[in-house]
Amino acid sequence: MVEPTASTHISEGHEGGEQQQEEQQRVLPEVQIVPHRLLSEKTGMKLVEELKTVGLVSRVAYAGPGDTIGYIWVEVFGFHEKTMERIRAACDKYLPFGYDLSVGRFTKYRKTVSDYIREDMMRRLREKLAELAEKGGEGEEKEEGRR
Amino acid sequence: MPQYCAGSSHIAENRRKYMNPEYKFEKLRDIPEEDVVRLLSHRAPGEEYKSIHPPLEEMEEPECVVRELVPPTEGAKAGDRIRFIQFTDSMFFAPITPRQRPWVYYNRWRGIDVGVLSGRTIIECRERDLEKIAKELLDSELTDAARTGLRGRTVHGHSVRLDEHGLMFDALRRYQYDEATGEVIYVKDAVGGPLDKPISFGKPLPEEELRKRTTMYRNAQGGVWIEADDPEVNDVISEVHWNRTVGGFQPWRKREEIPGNKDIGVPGLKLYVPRGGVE
Repeated sequence: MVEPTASTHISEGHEGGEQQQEEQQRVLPEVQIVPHRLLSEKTGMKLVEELKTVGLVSRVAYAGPGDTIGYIWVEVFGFHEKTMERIRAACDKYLPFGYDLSVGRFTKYRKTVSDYIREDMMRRLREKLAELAEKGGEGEEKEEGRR
Repeated sequence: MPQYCAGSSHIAENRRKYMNPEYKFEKLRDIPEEDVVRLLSHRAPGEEYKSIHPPLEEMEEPECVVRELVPPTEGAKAGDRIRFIQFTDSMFFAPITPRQRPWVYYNRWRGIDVGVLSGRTIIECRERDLEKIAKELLDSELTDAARTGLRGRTVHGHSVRLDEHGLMFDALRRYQYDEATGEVIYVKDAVGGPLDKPISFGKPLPEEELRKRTTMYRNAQGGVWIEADDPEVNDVISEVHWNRTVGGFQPWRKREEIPGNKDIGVPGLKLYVPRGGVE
């Protein structure tokens, strides 16, 4: 099994919006969909678009190796029967080769220590680059001055 | 018929069938010889075979009983280079598995050197012989367009999830699924060099057909469960394993004399995994 190397794409559902703002403190549960085959972007996006419309969905995220989609996470405001039924129906429609559904929390909902470290590293790198650019700029000016 | 392999399921039957040199492989496609040469990319089509030593007839060989007994293969006679062909077999019910490929190969051809790894199998032999073997293998039922990959390098992908058309993952994208015709088309040769003209491998076999033809036991997705459905095979494997590990390469000693737990094999074994496996 290849670990998802691509960055996780997150897109807001049709519903949510204000409601999500209010519930930002509360961690919402997710439904994880693992298709038995890797989806092309075309099919995968169709499924993602359909999942956004099943109701009581906060957001839909997906990830996969390369330009394929291997995992889809549907963040829901609760496991309502209708929602689950519609998620299953959408999956049956687009994933005839089978899939696994599981519930829980699968994606990040707050920054991790690694995220803080990465951010800090990026900040330092940016600063250093800016410093170098400044120095380089000065050097050029000087050269021009000599002429 | 010799007993090549134990078992009563259709999987074991397939294994015996492929291993039997008298059995002729079913032909699923016909790839022209020129295209086989292009796919292998060891020489340009029409180019002469390069040699590493003069033909055997012109050479003075030392006196040797074995050399007199064993006739050289055509490639050896001409002094061809050693070249290779390598296949990757998907875990998802490919027609044959890497471990069974050498069983098949050694029963059928001479003058080959087979190397087996977890997902791929390589044959090394003289170029002239190789092209014949390659043609036979690529045309035969051992090669499925979607689940078997002809890969000289970057072989990874045998255990990766298939794509939505059932094709095995290939990092170099040597083959593509043609949505218009439903066929699998090779656009690159075995080592990833571009082909000037794509080569079609025909339509991939349907799922049920693959389940019927495979030599793979797999307790998932409709495969045959070795422990529950074909325990005889597992017993034989356990026996061989016991004799080698506990028995420690002492074929002259009686089994009763060797200390150790002899309660091996499947009978009386409790199977904890549910049918269909856990994924």
